Amino acid sequence: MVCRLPVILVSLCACLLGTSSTPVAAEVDGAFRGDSRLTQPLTVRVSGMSLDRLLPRISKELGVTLRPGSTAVGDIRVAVFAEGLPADFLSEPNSANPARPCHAG
Amino acid sequence: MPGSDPAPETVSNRSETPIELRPRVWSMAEVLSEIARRTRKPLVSDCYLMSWHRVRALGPATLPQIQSRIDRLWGVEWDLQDGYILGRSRTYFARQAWDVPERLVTAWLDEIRNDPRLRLDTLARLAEWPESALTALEFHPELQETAPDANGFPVYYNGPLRFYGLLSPAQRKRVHSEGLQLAYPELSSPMQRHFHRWLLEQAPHVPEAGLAEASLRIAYSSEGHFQCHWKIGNTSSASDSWLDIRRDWLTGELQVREVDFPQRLAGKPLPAMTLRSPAGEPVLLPRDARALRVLLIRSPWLMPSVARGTGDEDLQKLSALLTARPELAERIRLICPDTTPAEVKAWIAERKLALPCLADPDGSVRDVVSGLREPRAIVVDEEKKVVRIISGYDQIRSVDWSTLFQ
Repeated sequence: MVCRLPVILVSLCACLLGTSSTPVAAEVDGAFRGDSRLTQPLTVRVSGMSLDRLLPRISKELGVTLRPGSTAVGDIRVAVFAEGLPADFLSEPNSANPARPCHAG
Repeated sequence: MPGSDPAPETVSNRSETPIELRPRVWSMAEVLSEIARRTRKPLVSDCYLMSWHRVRALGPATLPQIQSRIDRLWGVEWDLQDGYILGRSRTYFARQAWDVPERLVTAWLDEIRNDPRLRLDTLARLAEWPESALTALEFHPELQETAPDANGFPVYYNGPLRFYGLLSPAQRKRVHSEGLQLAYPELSSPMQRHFHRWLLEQAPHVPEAGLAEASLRIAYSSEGHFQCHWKIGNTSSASDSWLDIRRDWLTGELQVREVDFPQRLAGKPLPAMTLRSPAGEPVLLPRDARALRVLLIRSPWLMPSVARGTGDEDLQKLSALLTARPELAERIRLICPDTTPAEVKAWIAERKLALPCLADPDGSVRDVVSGLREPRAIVVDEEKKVVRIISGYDQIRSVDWSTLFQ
């Protein structure tokens, strides 16, 4: 089984914020498909950290800029524990939920 | 976790194995960390600044039992999705509304890291939040690593700080220069109301008839000395304190902060430390390692951590060096805080690390030589005096280990 951490993270945020009225971003689709930067394994152990602070740290490791799509998303505090898992969530952006609260670029 | 378990158990049989949570503090953040660590399952959850201390009474329990207890007490819906434990609060909006906004805490953290003196403007914004929310900041991991107990300031000085928050920009400027002196009739209605409330807390016996004669003075020096005086007739009160995380809040005496802790060791001999070998035998450092040059304090469960790969690039590099040059093994010890000897033994076998590891089960040695959870390497000379300290995962994973043994 292949686990995709950010998909799960995004799914959680989308569930929390709802999908109809939250101004979440969905501006990236095929542009990063197959991008090797997003298939790098990643280890994340954070707890009580806001997405505003977590996403830049993930960005630094992947070499891809990720940022919250809205203030509400950035303020979400999360606990994330995943070890050596692929970060290729942008290649399958809609696997868990149509709402994706992250921009990438 | 995937790729790291030589004989992986299935999700179902792992769920039946009782686990014992041993968090540093029983906050939600730490308990979630312990659940992920002890079950060895990936986990994603929303997280709030609150205590989950009542999980402690459960003792060793299976994951479903722990989840059930948490759901019953705090309303968290658990799921298993793509192999992840997924936890969602059933009261997300209420919890988030109750927390001090993360953006405010982040701004405060950035300020504190830049200048240990606390800014009145930020404290005044914080002081608007309920005491319970401010108290809960004791569970904010980054704030507690950076400035333990700083969350007490907006609670202790709530009256003066909220009064300060009502001042005009020009009045605030005077607070920071020569000090602001105000007579009661000069106060706006909101200021008067706030002053009444402040007085009621401090001096409930002061008769209201004297209020028209009241005066007050607020001053904040560039050293972080905060003074609030008020006077009504023959009654007066003064509050003096130091809003600086480097200083004693009452006396202003400079103190060593936890983040500056290693400076205390610089140039001094390593203190005596008692650790445990992976077999559980006591090891006394530096006595039992005469050739010791490098002490690496680093938990197997490094947190917070965001890193490529399996998050142990630093140790893999070090292990490769020791494999190539086994004579260096006598010159380094890896201390694993908050980890039992059995856990250390299992971890180095699983990761195939050729490293001389020692367990620091209760984290007491880490508290003496490091203070914080981030990894630190301490380099000593032949007399075991500390000559260099390297802090942080990014710094340690980029270090050329071979240069430290020269």
